Amino acid sequence: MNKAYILSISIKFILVFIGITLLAELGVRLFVTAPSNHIFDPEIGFRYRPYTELFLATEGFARNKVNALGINDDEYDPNKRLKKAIVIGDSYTEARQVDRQANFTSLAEQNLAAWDIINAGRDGLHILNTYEVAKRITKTVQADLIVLVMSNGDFIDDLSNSNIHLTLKGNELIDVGIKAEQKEHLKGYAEWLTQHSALAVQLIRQFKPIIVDTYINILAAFNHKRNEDANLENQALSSARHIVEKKEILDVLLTKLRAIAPVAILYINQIEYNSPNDAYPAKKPADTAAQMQEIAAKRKISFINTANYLIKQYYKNRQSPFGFMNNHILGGHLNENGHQAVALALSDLIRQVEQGENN
Amino acid sequence: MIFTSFTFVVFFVLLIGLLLISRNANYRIYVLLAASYIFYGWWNVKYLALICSVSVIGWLFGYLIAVETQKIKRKIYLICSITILLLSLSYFKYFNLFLEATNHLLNTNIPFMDIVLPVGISFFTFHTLSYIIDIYHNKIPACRSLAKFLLFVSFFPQLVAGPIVRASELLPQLDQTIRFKKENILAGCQLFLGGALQKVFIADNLSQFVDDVFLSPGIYTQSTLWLAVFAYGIQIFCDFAGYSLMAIGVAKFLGFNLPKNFDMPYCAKNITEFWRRWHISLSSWLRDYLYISLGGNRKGVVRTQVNMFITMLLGGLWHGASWNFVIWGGLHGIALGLNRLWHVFLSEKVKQAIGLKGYTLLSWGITLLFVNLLWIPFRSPNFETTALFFQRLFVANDGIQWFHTPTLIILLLVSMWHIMYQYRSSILVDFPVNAYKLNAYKNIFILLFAFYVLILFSPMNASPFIYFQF
Repeated sequence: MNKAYILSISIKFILVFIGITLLAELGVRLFVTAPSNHIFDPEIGFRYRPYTELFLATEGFARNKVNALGINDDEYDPNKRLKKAIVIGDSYTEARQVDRQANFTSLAEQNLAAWDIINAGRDGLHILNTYEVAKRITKTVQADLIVLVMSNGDFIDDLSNSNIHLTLKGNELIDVGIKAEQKEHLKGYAEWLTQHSALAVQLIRQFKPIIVDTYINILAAFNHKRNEDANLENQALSSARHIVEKKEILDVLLTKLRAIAPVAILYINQIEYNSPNDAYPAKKPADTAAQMQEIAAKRKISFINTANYLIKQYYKNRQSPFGFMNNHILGGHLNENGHQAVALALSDLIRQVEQGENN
Repeated sequence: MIFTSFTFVVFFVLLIGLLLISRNANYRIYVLLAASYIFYGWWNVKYLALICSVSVIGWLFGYLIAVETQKIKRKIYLICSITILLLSLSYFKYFNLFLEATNHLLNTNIPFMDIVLPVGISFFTFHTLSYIIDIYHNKIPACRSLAKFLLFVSFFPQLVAGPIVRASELLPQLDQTIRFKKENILAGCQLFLGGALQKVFIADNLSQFVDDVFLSPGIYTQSTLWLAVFAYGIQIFCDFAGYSLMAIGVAKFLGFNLPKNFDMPYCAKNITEFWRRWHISLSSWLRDYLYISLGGNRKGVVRTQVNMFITMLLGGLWHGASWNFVIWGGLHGIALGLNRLWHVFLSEKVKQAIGLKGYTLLSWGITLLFVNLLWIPFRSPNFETTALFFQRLFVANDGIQWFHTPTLIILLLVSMWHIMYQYRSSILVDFPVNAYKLNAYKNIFILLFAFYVLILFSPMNASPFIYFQF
């Protein structure tokens, strides 16, 4: 092989590569995902860049725009003389899988003429970060109510996270918090690329496990000393966590949130089926909903479990309230059908709060 | 180690490097042998002893049969070797079934043993058996080099899921010097990428839908179940054919030719043709070493039917010890017998009555439907699920409707692929395309296009190859 041949092949390769990469970029933007709109945030991991698109066609096929506050909601109008309910939670609340007008906060708003319901959900938001989100959003929005949307994962996984910082005074837990995880820093390195290329976002998503593992291993290899310190700190925290139950952590969070505004809890329960005529609330792991209800009752916080609403909706049209045609149908996020059910639950929850206030 | 993993890419690059620096032809054999054992040991290093023992037993008995002149002694060696090899295979595959049957019959309570089925055990046992039987029938000479024989049995591209390569096909190639040739490399890349597309893009995406539906068929509508039946038909074809194509591609890259294992089986117009196109290396193995040994079609109509039924029943049981595989194999055996009778007595009459085109279309439709319906027992975890699936498939029921969009798109693409093939599209029929026929732009385009499709549309959780379990 002579030099001229190698040069000619290289040029051809580069030309075809550029052409096909541009085609792939177009294809991904049309059918798969939008460029990233994440901005690294040391407190909550990331936040959305205002006025950007939320689009991920692996579950549903909806395109929504982030508003000026960086949330999946209509533009906030401070002149509306309505009561304000801020709904905070993770991807179930953000609901990027369905059109904004079909998500449960928009539908509930139609049911409650006196309320402006603000959807402050964000994909992957840790339950303890809801406090930080509430604090930030109430700088703009005078909240009359904070609705905390929780699911099994928030209670079981989020509250078991080893990165949770616990502040104890004697044996009493007085504060809880969580900072962005190590892997979130990774996003900062590729921010420019991912904000301009949907193809890069999708490639990174596909290789995420390899990239994250490699990054964490490299960090571990180069930060021996730091890791030793962190381990000691973690050991101290684990022993502290050992005596602190999840319920107590949640209790502290609720106290902090109530300092901002009154709080209500909406619990999203998955449903399962024995047969088409026998749907029931998923109970694995057991009694999460019951524990949540117990905490709410203790604090006299309004609480609604959506399970019965979702089952009723299923029997109404025999379609699963979770899942999408292009993903799993029995699990995953709420679809349009499920949002209708949860909207009813949210409406009832807010009415319950109103009644409580009146009493 | 699986072909579609990052580990395999690293492994293969290192292997090529080592082969390039090994100037001596014998060294290259040793390098390939070591690579094959590493490939296998990556799954479970303990079972290297098993594959090694099976190979050594095969080599020794092959040698004994070859040098022995007395017919009776040759036969004894043959029976001994077959018994040892089949006992080892049966222990891993069927011992717990045997215990279950014993408990059932004798009303005992012998606990099951914790037996892990070694990956590819059926394949390397069949390689060894065919070698010994071929020597016995004087079809091939015994292999003098133990290293070459160990490599024949363990040659990593075809080690864990076939194609089942006969000694007469691979051993002579091991005698030739391993050389990297441009046309082999390009053809190998095409075959590998074609296989990877079938496995990762088609089969893995379909498995997301198929797995859910087969897990609880009782809650879906009739139409969703029908979609799942055809989706599984395509999934298992692309999963297995994709793996075979990758295996053939890897071997081709290294300069070896492995036999074709699939030839568009869903284009078959009768069940006999289907089995000539599906898992060709196993079908022909069963035909040559089982069906013909039972007497084939030489002993009358009834005996032919019985032989076919036994062959397919054992073929079904080869996949695993369960009633579902008995049903699957048995019904295929009956269908093969009926097909034979049909062609003898009725085929021509029907052809005349409805015309050739109508007859062809009808035969193709019936074959496709039959094969796909029989995938239900093959895929279902147990007999109860099979029964429930069939019950709901033929009766309109309440349930959740799920038309999985990626599945619909893939079924459409696969249908187009088959239609194009029927019209003898040269790029499909002559695959791999002779790289010299394409200009550099086209070669690079095909390579990059396949690469992008693979990495963009593969599901996050790749499914294991279905045939690894057999």
